[in-house]
Amino acid sequence: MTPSHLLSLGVIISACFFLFARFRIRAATLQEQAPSTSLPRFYGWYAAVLAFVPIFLGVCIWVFASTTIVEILLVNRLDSLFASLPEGGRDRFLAEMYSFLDGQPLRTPSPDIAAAANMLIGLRTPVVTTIIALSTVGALSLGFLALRFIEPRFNAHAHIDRTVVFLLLLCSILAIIATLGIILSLLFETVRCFEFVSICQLFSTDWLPRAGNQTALDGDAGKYGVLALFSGTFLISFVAISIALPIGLLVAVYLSQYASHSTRRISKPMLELLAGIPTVVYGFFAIVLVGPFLQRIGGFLGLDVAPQSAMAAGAVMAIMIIPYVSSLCDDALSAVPSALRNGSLALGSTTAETVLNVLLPAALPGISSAVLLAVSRTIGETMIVLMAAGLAANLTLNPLASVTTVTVQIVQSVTGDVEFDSVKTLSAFMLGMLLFVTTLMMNVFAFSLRRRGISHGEV
Amino acid sequence: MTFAQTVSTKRKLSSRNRADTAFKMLGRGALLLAFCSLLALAIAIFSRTLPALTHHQITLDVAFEPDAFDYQTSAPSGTDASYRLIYANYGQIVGRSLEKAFPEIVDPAEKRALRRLVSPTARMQLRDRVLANPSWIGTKQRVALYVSKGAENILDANEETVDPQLTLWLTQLQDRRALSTTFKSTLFTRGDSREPESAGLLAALVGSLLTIAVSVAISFPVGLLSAVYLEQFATRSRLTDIIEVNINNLAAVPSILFGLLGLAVFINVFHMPRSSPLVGGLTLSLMMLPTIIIASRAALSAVPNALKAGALAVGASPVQAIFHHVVPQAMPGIITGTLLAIAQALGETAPLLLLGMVAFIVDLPSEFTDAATALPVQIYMWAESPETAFSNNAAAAVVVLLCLLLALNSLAMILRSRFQKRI
Amino acid sequence: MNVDPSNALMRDAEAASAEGIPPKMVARSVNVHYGATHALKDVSLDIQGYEVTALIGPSGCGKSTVLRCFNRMNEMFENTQTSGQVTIDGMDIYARDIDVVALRARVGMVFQRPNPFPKSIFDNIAYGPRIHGLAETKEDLEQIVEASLQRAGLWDEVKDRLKQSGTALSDGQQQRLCIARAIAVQPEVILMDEPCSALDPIATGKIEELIEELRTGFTIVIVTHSMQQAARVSQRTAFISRGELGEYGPTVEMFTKPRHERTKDYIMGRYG
Repeated sequence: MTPSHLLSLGVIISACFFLFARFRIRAATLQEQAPSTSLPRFYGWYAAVLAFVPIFLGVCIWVFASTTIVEILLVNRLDSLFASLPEGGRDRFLAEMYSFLDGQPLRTPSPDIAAAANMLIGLRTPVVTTIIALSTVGALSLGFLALRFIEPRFNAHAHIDRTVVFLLLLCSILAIIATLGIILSLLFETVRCFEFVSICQLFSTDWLPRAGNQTALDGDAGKYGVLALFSGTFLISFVAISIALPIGLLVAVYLSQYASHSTRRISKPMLELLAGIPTVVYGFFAIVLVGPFLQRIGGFLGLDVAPQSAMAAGAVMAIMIIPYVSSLCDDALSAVPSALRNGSLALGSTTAETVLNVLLPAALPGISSAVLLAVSRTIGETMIVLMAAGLAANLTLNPLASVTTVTVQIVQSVTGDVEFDSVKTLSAFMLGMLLFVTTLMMNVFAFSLRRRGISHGEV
Repeated sequence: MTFAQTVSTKRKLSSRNRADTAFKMLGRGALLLAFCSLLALAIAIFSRTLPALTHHQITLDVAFEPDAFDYQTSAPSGTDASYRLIYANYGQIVGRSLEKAFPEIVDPAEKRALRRLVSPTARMQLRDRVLANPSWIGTKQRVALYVSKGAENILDANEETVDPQLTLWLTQLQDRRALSTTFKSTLFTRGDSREPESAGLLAALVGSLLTIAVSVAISFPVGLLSAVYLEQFATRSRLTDIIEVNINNLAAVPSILFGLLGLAVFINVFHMPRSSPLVGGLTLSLMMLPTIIIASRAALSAVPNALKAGALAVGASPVQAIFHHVVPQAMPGIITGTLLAIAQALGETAPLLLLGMVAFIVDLPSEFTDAATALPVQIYMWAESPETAFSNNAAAAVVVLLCLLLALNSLAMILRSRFQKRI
Repeated sequence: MNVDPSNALMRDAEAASAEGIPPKMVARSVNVHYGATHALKDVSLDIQGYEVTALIGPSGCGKSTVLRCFNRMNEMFENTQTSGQVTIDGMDIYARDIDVVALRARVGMVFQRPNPFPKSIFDNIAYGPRIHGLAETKEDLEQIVEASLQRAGLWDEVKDRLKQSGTALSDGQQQRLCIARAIAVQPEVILMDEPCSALDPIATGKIEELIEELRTGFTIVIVTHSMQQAARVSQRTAFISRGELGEYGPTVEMFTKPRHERTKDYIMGRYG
């Protein structure tokens, strides 16, 4: 039996109760000679929904929590074994057991691990059986309870409506849970990371994370200084913005002040097209064209350009964010009241003078907010830097050198490593936390700037 | 003389106008630059797509001499006559045909080198042809055989170490018009492979579709229902304010953090299968949620209130009025938003890398819990490969991905324009 | 009461109250607040059965708010608070155990702008009966639809195109479709919120005729900004000003001998 079978069983039980309830209310109205408050089908739905709730909960527990329950049971059984293991040995033991179960053992399993794995498999069946039995019994008893409630004066429709609204509320709360999930998962792992890495260590420039099995050999957990990562991130960001801002701003000014209607009609979708291209495609573009191209130009000028340079990543990222910057700048420009623009034009200023002397100063808060949002986009960007920037942490301001970024190191730390709680993996979450805080602050600041700009514009 | 006619003003005016024109040209140049980069991107991709989609073939006169079919002295007992055909010495047949095609070569080492022209799969090609036409034995036929990887590199002008001998022979074959190209269908019918010529993107495509199916199945209903709640039922309160701020911030969170969330929650806490479309889809659904909610809310608030009032006035409950009248009316807008969210999720790579969907997948995944990869991740893996042939495959995969996205976006645009017409 | 005995309509009303028939709907000291705004102040009003009651008054005075109190449509707006008592046949409609859905099936409503559903004409009429389970079979439903359209005087115009969208009709037809939609649920009271304000004179004439006919089967409360319309279609008129009930009485009396100065000024067209 799989969760989907249980779900089907629930649907069948619910359908039965739907029919029962409808039949019952019809009989009751005939008997009491009084019309029911709601239509018969609402009584049916009432019973069906009540009967379905336990099944749905059962399926959720099965899918999301059964593994955890089994693990807790297993840990209880193996209490004595774990007591003999050293600090942190339990987690390592479990991780090794799971990888053994997945068919990708880290090394030949010890007999203990094989026995534990067998015990785990043996525990699965009773847990699943209990879940199925409990939810089925729950469904049947709630269904019969619902049938007892049913009488003509009972307002089933109102109950159904209230249930629907409750469901809607649950759905919107899910959005909060997602954010909360991000924050909590980052926070937990970050705290665990700081058990191994001191906070002072972050402010150094060496980034040399080491995997768990390497650490196990000589006890060296690696070096976790994030300065070089952030300098690389902001260097690429700086390159991208210094290319994308002038171009994006000029495009926005040209399209809103000079371009003919037909130019605008063609250009806007083209820019949208540019914005809709997945970042991995830009990364590919950087690998096959921009990187080699920059290297060749560098060679021509006698400059030493790394094959994976901050310049290449920044340039490609600039192409990616031009549509974003230009549409944000467009918003900022159009938030400037047209009276200002018309007034300036009526004084005999040329369009260029109007733009430079009137529009741009007035739109400055909006444009600064656009820059902040664009920076926040670039520092969170992963694929382009992963493909076009390097892997080695370099503290440099030279855009032609190879640098690495926060996002690249997050990917590097968690891919290709099966075990979960080495310091290297935890450091990815620590970096994620720093990234989250940085981008969140930028976004909040940018939005407040933009609001201020717009309210200025309206006054 | 009026102010505008004074000489100095006139001179100043013309210089000011020149500055204005220059500024305009600067703007036009910026726009052009943006389009040029789009063009460069398109060229970089399309120029690499063609080699990935074609195979070069050498047409040879192949003599199916009977002795090649008797080289296995005795067939194991219990096998039928086709055994002879399957285990014939096709390598010898290919070699002899090549030697015949270049009669001027006499040096045995060079003769052996000739075999580097054709792909190792040529033997399989011949075997399949013979199995289909057993009467060919003892006859001479013109057969087209796939060229080897090295020859393919030379013909596609890939920047790799070039074998001068092969180049010479290939030019000779070209002069004799013995070279042809065919469409390489393996790219669309197979999973990944260690060999670029037999690697396909079908497994990645199926993985992407499974992943998207999971994420749409979750994010569409949840997004729609929460938009209905926020737009139609929620009275302004602390809770709704928190939800609103949350949704807006969630939309701006870097995608890689969703990958970390999926890794920590779905894989580490819930022990869901790593690399599976289930986990990938769950994670992507969280990313799609804000897009869908924001678009659905806009669509719902555009429905005139009179419609709801009309339904309420005939005695519909608020839930009925909204689900019978308001939501159907907003549906085109909601679906447009969902399509755009799907397009965004389809191109998303970074979170899937963290969830282990960066796997070497040969077989097509058939279940949501199978190990799988996704199309953008496949592009990433191929693009990172030093072999040019893989890089070309990546270009072809990019074209497939872009076509899918274009289709989704056009569908969304059509829906949007139809929706606008109706209102 | 000093009444012109030649007025037939007036006699009807007199007779009804003389026979001691209790009013269909009663509002007693109703107060409505929209947030900080006190929209209705202590309004008390009796609506007689099988009569047309017109609510007149300057725009923004709260006449639509009074109307919406009778089917609790004010609750559609956020932050609305209603106090006081409104009854239908003696039953308090703001009581805790009252099902708004059932109430609105008894008290139908027609709006200022015609608002047919973007569905076929048939489905527009059939929606109400469907959700209330008024028709057991398809034939029943078709019968209800035909009867409602007949009653609204629309049947002959649309009987050949019931599958067409309701929004494709002319404005006047759309409004009669909305009236038919309200009738289809078999309400006792029909509330009309300026039903003719978006229509041309000919369509208005048709609706007014229709209201006159409907009086035989329904109790009608109509909000109108046109005093001529009130005079033409109603038996009783309530004058509302600044959220208060200014004057209430038989229509003829109101238009010939208004008791209050404000009513007189409004009727004479001095303000409004």
